[in-house]
Amino acid sequence: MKPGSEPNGFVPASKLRREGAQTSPPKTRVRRRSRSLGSPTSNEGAPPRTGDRVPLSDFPLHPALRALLESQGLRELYPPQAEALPPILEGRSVVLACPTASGKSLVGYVALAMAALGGRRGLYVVPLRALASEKYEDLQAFQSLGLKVALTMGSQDLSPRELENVDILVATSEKADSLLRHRSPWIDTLGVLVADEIHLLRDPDRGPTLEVSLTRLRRQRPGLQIVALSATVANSHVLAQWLDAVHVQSDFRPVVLKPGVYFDGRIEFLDGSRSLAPPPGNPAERLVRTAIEEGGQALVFVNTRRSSESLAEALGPAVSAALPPEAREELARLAEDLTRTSEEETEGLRRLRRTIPWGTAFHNASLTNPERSLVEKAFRSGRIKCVVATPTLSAGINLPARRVIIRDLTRYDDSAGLNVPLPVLEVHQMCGRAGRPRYDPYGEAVLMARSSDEAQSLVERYLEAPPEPVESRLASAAVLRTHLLALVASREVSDRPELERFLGETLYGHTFSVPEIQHHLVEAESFLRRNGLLEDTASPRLRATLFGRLTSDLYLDPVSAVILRRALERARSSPEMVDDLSLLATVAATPDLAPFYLRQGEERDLTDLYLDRRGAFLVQPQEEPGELDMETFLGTLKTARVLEAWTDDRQRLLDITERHGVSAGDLRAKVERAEWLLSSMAQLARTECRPLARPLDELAVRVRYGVRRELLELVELRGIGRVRSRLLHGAGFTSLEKIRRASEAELVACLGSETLARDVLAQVRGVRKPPARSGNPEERGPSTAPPERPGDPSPPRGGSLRSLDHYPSSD
Amino acid sequence: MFKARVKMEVLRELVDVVSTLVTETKLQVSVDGIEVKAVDPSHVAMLVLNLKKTGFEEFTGDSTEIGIDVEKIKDVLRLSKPGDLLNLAYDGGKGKLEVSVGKIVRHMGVVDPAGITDPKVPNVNPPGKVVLKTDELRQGIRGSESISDHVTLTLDPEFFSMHSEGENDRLDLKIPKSELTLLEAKETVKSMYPLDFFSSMVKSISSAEEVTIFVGNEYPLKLEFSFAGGRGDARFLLAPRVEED
Repeated sequence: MKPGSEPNGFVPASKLRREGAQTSPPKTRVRRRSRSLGSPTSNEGAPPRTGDRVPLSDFPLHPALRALLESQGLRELYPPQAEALPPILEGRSVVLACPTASGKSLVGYVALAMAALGGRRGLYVVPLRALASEKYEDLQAFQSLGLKVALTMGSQDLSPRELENVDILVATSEKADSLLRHRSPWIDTLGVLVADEIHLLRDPDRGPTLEVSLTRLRRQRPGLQIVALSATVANSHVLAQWLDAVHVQSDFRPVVLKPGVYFDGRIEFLDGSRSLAPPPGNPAERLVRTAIEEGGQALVFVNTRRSSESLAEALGPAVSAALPPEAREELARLAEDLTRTSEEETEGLRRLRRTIPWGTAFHNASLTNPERSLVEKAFRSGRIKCVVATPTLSAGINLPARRVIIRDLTRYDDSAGLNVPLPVLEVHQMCGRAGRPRYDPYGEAVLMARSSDEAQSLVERYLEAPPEPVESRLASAAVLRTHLLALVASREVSDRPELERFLGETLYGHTFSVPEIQHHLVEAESFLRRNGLLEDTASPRLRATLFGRLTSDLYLDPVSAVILRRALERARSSPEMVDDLSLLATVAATPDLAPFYLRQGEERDLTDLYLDRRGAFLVQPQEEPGELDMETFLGTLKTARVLEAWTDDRQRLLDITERHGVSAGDLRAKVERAEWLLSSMAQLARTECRPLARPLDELAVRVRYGVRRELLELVELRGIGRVRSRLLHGAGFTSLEKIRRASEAELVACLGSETLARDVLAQVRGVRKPPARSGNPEERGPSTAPPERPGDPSPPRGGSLRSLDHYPSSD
Repeated sequence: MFKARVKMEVLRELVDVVSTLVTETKLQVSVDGIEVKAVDPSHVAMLVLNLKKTGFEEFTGDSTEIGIDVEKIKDVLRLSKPGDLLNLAYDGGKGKLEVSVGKIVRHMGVVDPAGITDPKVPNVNPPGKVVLKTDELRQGIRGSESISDHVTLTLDPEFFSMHSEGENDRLDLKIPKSELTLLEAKETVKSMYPLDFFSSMVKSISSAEEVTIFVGNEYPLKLEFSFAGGRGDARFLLAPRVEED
């Protein structure tokens, strides 16, 4: 069951109650503040405001849909929903900008269901993976209306045949982009598009893909109905103009939000009320403890991973003291159970085992995904009382708490080299997590100041100012070269004027004039022509080369593709000399895989490694087009070394992360991308350097599982990862055939688990099919073939019968 | 309307073939003969069968659908002996199919054809083709059945082979090109198929000395053969086992 939703609950209904904490920046223009900040006279314990709800029966919904919604307890709509629905039911496009707590998603769901019930297909695009699965789970309730709902994200690709009967598709922006690149016929019958979290257009990484996909969809489906959902931003009316949509803006929020600033033992709320945080203890501790003593939970935002870990530990004793003994016993059991979340010990687990018995935990990118969701789950269920998080949590994860405390209002900016203030929108999203619908009568968002001057300036900067406007991030040569190639490769545009017309239809073109990005365009086009991705002719026609099309299909950054191709060319003279480290260093040198940072003192060691083997590397520092400076190059060497260590299953994960000063979470992220890049490189090798294609495919699989070659056969089994496959191998079970002949008792002795041993036996005997392992990065397009199983150690076992329905019929 | 006289052997083979997949089926009668299309409930195997007018001793018919219970026909066949002729008559009005052999006449209740699914026959064209002796295929299947639930067929430019593997045993049947009637494979293709269906299909063939098999990579199997002295032909499709979807 999805955390936060009702046990059998159709989420749109419960969402109305629980959405209170997703992304709801307070509307803070002073004059209108009372609406979003709760009535000034509201005090603790006041019931959440219910607003002017409108009965569902006022709207001309399809009877089956209404019945479904009502059966889930939804009989009334919140004002913003009630305002947005009528134009949607008339088939018009709508931009709805309001705090997420007001049930934006429901509006999108209704639009999709109404369209699908009327025979029009619907697409729900979300910019974040975590949100995609959440929306998919919600939308599955519509299956009972006879609608087919499907999800595509990460490695979950859908074949054209699987897509054929899908009425409602949930996709990440990358997957939507990928459907467009591959000219999926499914798009041809699209009737309605819901674009969620559209304010993320301003995100430099995710924004451009979303913007280009929206533009392409509108071009391919003229008259497409768009329902765009946005957090409160300064210029949502501009988005509405761009999309030819009705603009609905509201600052309604069903759970009272009280923003305030803490300084010197006191919280000053904007509504004039005050609260004292009694001594002793440091400020954060006092704020957390009072929240828990009042029966709530606390979520603290800090700006570094290290602070999140150390603060979670520092807060522990105080939080623990506020808990009854039974709660502490339960937490102790939870900490013991942690071992089961992964096959291998990690630093993150070690630390969590220390903090969880106190009722505190941290949440940052050092944790692996299962570790993070464990923390989220335990917090949602109320067992963990306080989570200290880095800002990654503010986007995409629905983790509400009675009191949100923002300790750090700056963040280190890599390009500027110093700490810069957090964007207002981001702070509003953090604040918006305050108040658990149904559990908390109100939510408090507290910004921590270190001086009274700072307290004043925080109020002005964050609590009284509007969030930043949403602006296009398309104007950069790096962004344009990727999208230019994709547009040309999929024949969306075939010459400059057409390209300019296309850009004119983007948000960028809507707000700025295209000539202003001319120089970026020229740069991007010349890069693509010069490097053989576009045909390099004097003709103004834009045509992708085979290499260009492959690059676009593999979803590679053109610069990455050029680096990979050049490495392959270099390897051509003596492919047998190329070793794993060189291949890993090659993929680590691409912009699609950000290298690890160097620690103090590592430089020397890595420089020695480089000098020793200089001739063996397929990438070299200081080269066009990546322009790897020496430091970055050493970073790629480090990344290659860490990945190489990971593919040696005899090394313990904990030792690898400790020795290289990296976290398990980071390593997993690199592993995911390296696997994708290696199999992409294998595809390129089929034309550039054939002898390397198989070794690359094999290395990709080894990177995925983190094993040496001899374990490849064993890790295919479900439940068998790098540690257990090594155990099996060590006990003499070196092949599936040998496991097949083993007795259950022998396997139990080796694996230490009866259930697992039985499952493994069932798998090797072909009773159950081993599941597809996933773990590919977001960007893998549908055409990217999964890596071949190397070695073909045994004939296919088991597998599944593919019904004849799978094949198109002649009639 | 449908009225025909048919050799016991022809009808028996037709019924055997059909009953590998279904217990009820629809006879599609036209002026030229009859057609049967059937799919097993799990959509793993399919059959398209035609028996021309000339495959009957006497035949008159026009466009009619008759839903039949295959077991009932088998009952009547059990009453007959080789060389007998059976008379079949159906006139939509009474809702009965009349089957007679010798002095026995059975009025058979028919099944509403509307309740029988009309399979959508997929358009599959596996790239490899082999023509081989039915007996050799049957032998390979008998061998495989004793050790596994599935069998892998391989077509290579030089040979045709069947392979199956059990917990401790393996079985291979390899026939070189020179000993095959026909072999057309540009490259090696192979697929694995469920043996239960494959076996009953092949066992249902009684008169054809040779069968034609089409194979691709992880692709449905197509098996073709003729009966009734070349006046009837049948085509089976069989779903492949695939590693993963």
